[in-house]
Amino acid sequence: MHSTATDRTVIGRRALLWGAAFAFGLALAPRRPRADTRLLVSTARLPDRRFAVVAVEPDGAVRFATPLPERGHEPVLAMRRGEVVVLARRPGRFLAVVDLADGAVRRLLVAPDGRHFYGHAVFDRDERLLYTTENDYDAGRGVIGVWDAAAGYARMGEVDAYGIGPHDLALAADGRSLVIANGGLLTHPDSGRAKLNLSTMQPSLVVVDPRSGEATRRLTLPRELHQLSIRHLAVGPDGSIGFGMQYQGPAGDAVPLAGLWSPDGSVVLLPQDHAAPADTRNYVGDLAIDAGGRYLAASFPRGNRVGVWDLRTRRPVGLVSAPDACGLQVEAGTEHFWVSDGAGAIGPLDPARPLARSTVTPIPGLAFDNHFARL
Amino acid sequence: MPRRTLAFALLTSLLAAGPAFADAADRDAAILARAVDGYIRPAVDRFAGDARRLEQSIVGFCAAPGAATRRPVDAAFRTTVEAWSGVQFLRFGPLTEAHRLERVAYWPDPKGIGLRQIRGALAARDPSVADPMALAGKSVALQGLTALEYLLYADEGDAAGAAGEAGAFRCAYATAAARSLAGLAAAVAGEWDDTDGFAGRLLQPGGDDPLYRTPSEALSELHRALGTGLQVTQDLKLKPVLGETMDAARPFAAPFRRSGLSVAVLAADLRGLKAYFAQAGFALELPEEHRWLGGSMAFELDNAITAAEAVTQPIDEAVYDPAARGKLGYLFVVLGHLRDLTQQDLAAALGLTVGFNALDGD
Repeated sequence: MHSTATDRTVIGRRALLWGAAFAFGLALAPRRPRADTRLLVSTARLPDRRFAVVAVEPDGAVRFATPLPERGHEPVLAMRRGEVVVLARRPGRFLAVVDLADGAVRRLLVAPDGRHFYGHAVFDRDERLLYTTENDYDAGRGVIGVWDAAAGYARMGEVDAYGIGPHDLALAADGRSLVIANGGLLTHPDSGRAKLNLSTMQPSLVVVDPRSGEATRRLTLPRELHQLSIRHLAVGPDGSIGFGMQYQGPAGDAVPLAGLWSPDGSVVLLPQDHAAPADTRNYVGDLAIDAGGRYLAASFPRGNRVGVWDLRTRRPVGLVSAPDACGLQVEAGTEHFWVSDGAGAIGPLDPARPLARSTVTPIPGLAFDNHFARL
Repeated sequence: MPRRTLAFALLTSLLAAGPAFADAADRDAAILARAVDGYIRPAVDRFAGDARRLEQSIVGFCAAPGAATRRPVDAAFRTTVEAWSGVQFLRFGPLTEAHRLERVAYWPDPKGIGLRQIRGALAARDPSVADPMALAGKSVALQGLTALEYLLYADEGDAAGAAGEAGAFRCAYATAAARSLAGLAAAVAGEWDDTDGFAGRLLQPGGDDPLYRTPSEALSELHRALGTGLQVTQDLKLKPVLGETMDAARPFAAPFRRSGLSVAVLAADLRGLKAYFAQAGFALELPEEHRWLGGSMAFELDNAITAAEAVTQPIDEAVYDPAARGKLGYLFVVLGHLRDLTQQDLAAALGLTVGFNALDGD
């Protein structure tokens, strides 16, 4: 199948019209998937204000837009399985398994009784087991749910998250352990999204062996920084763990918002003399380390900026204006980050150039939600 | 009748339209000045005054427990809780320092942490809770209006003022909690009055102030407070309490249920938001195509207040009474509409970008 950039745009528009005609029903006259096709898969809000998972190609062509029962959070790709798993946003309870080829919902599951999702998940290396961050809300305890994707996503059990409010998680460099960002914030579905323990919160990063359930490493912040909720993380090619935080204290405080936990155990909180509280609103929405491990990027959706640091010097590279941008991803084989925003724009950011950001807007009126995945 | 009210509201909003500012920054600065002088400072002053009167009434009651000294306590507790409704949505600046929000009202508390801690302190006769200075440094769940409510309205029958050592200790704890609360409220009011402090930074945002660099950024804070207030009232104080069906109602989740003030809190929240919207004059100088907003929001705020004030039963009965339940259900719908008007229409009319990700991230 031959296609030029122009063709793709046309197909994208046609797909959009189909979507409009069927009120964004499933399967929008999909283009035949190819192994080399790059794809951006994101949670989103559709122009008709329904929540969805959408797949677009880097030129803006829309492959599918599948409505979800409620607002989703992170899409997690399983390439060999040809599917994407979308978790409900806190305190939601659905887990949708969506076909990457055509957007059809293969399965729609719910969290076990007494558990809700925090919105993030990760597959093991074989894409057989799926790990989900969850709240055992009556006990006020974070857990990691374990699902067997090969057995129709049967629930296999759970392991302790060793903290309250586990949010993002990732596979550690050993490919077996899980790195978990415990935000430290106690919530309960009966209270919506309200935070119940601001004065006693104790965020942490924990490395857990999911087979034994043992915690092998743990990082907590100094007492005076205990209101920095560790929410998002990214594992670099050398095993370094970058983490992004959200500050629950007074708005004018200047606090570090991103850090790096190195394989040797050392920790640095990255300086941000390039960013004032008005640039960050003390809130990191997503975080990424580029494919080569040289740069770390953090999005500040409330400050309408994306910040980039050079991990060799551990100094800020700069800030780029990116209104309502949250989702961050990396591009294989380059130093580029990809950024998505609430105005429906998505595109690459090159840290080596003066942080120029270029974007496409695949569906007018669409808003990209907090996170996306890129293949 | 409602239609006529709407038409009237629209008309007055047109007549009341003030000078059209050539410069949006001037208009934003005018809203900021009106919000601080016309609403925020009077509201925090009122809260501080009510908290002080509550402290005095508890001192008087504990000195000579009886029906005559108890009545002022009940009256002062109610006015303080209602004054707090007018302040609690201002979740920026002085109220976010030093856990003040949680120290005034530790709520929601679905796990009953406050109850457990207060009962523990009472059982142990922990002397530190009877000392206002020591209490201020203890668990937030032991402090403020939520603790006072338990001490004054607990259903065990040994409330403050009862005879014996238990009653005396409860009185000492309540006096300390009220004194500490009054001190906190006075500090908040003082900080809002201080033009060199946070209020000055909000009123005169500048290029070198990292907190607010432009009037528009400071205005975003005020606008966000309006949305936050509506959200807290709808999602926390009403939604779980009402439940989707009568079977799912959970009146025990309501704030200030022991003192019978849960419904009064809903009405007071909305009166506070209405006065805030009106005094700040968010919609006074909007471009012509957005002028309808002022009237529409005032109309819906009035509808919400009317619905809340029409519920005369305590919340435990109201959620199971079809007529009262209907009014609360209507209030829920109106609050949703007000949130849409605020987040979408008012934000756009004021030239504020309320981002999808920025608004309510994770």
